[in-house]
Amino acid sequence: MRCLECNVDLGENYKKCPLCGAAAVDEAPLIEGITTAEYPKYDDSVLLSEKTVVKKNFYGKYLIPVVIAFELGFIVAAAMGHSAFWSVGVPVLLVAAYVVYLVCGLLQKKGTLLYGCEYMMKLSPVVVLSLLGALFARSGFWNMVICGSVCLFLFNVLALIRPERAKAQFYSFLYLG
Amino acid sequence: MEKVNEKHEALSAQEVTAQYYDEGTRWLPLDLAATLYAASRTKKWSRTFRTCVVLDEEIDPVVLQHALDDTIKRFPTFKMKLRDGLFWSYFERVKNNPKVQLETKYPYRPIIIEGTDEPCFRILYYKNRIAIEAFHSLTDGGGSSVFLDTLVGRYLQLRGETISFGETVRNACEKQTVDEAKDSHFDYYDSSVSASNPPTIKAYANENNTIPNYANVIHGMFRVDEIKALAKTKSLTITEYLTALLIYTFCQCADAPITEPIAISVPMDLRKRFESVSVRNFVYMTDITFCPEGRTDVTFDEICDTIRGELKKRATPENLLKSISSNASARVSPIIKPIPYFIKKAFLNNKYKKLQSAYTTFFTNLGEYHYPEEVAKHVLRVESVLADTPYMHFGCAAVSINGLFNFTFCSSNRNKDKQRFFFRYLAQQGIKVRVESNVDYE
Repeated sequence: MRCLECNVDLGENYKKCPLCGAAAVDEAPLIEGITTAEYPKYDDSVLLSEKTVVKKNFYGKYLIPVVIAFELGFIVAAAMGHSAFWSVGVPVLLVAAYVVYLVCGLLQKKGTLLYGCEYMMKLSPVVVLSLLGALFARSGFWNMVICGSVCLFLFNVLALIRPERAKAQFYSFLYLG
Repeated sequence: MEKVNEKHEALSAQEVTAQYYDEGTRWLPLDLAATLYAASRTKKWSRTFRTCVVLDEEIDPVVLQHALDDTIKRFPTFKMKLRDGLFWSYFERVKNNPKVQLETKYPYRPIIIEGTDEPCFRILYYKNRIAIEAFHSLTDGGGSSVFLDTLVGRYLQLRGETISFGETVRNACEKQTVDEAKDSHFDYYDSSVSASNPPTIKAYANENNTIPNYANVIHGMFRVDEIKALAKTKSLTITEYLTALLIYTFCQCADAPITEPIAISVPMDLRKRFESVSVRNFVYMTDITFCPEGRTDVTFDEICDTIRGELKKRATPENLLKSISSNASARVSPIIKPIPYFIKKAFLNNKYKKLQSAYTTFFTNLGEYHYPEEVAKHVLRVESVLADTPYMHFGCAAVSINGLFNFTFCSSNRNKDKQRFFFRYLAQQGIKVRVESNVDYE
């Protein structure tokens, strides 16, 4: 087939010219030996269905940095003397955070269940001790709260870095030179 | 050209770089050119390109999947997804091999780049065509062609053909070499060479009214000897002639007189210049510019006279090294390195937008393919498709094989006046042109 308006050859099964829309004419092509490489027939409804290229990450990934940020805040608050509420709030919040993280890990994909359980088990003795200490301690027990919060903070950082040590080395050391 | 850094001196963590070449490599830094593409992506767009091979038989998806499984082992640097790190973005290995996909939608459907466990490329098939669509941070046209050629070679081998492997079609059963996986920029980065200045002009640009997830691909095929003879009448190379014709097309099809310069960006494959076999990005961006200065009586000969020899003049070893310095300087700078990536990304994105505004469109010519005989007899044609961007009307790419030149326009809107003018002009000059498209032919 050919387009006489554009003076070009077209594919064998073409009914009109893709350049100008004129009707294709059944004439022998000027270039011989080429067969049409077909494309699929498209459904134009898909033009609206795919909107983004980036999927959102699951929220558990952001949970631990948020928890660390809260812990730092509680350390500061305890150091400033606001100890009574925070001494209970800190461990309760952490336990809640870890439960949420475990649930998120269960919902994400295989393999994370073990990671989530391992994480919980590593830190739970510290959390439990801190909670018990806060519940049964006197109202001025802010020294233990500070120490407990600092320990928890360090444990969290360690828990993040240890499984990903090679990765941390990769993207921090390599790029810092 | 002589290598400057035999031992990748710019990369200090040698034990990490040694991991690149192992199939077990989990993370990979982006190459120098890739950083910009990674930063420029948005939720709806990323710099992607497509290369296709059309065979003489309908594709068997089961065999193709086996071939892909072997080829991805050969090139583990492709089995990566993008992640944003603290200081830079990087690639992380995905667990599962990618699956070949039957092509049912428009080309250049967005590739999901992050937050997924899929690699940053896809292999598509439809009837006789095999296509690779890759995110530009992963590789460039040259690198993706190597992957696709190796895939095709392995596919034909599994179909019973005996293939003689070489640099074009590599053996999928061998291991990736150090030279294939490395970032070749660092072999030639010299800190004493000053970086090239980024383009400062604002080029003429069409308003691009894009249709989401739509791609209008128009192939124009003609004989290499005919276009070569035609270019020779103007004392131009094929690339220069077609670039001049693109500029002339813009002049003739503009709604109003053009006062800004028309700048065609011409990426050049540095592998041939620097003897690199890397499958990662290694390309030099140069451009050819012509300014109509508001005139409507610009002639084609005038454009030819202006641009003759420009590509050769710009692609000198000094300019190439300056370009490499330009890419490398940000990555090795001790001041820039520790800046968090989300800040760097904003600057890089801004830099990319400025670069884009300095060009009217892209035209990449991958050159002539030379397959081994056993592969060439099954390959009917090769297609290279370069998509437009949010800032450009269309992308142009060309490749040739077996004496057949394939020039492709790709646009995400339905306007075809420039494509029409371009091919009609060639036909008027006596070139026999065949046009095929993915839309508007029924």
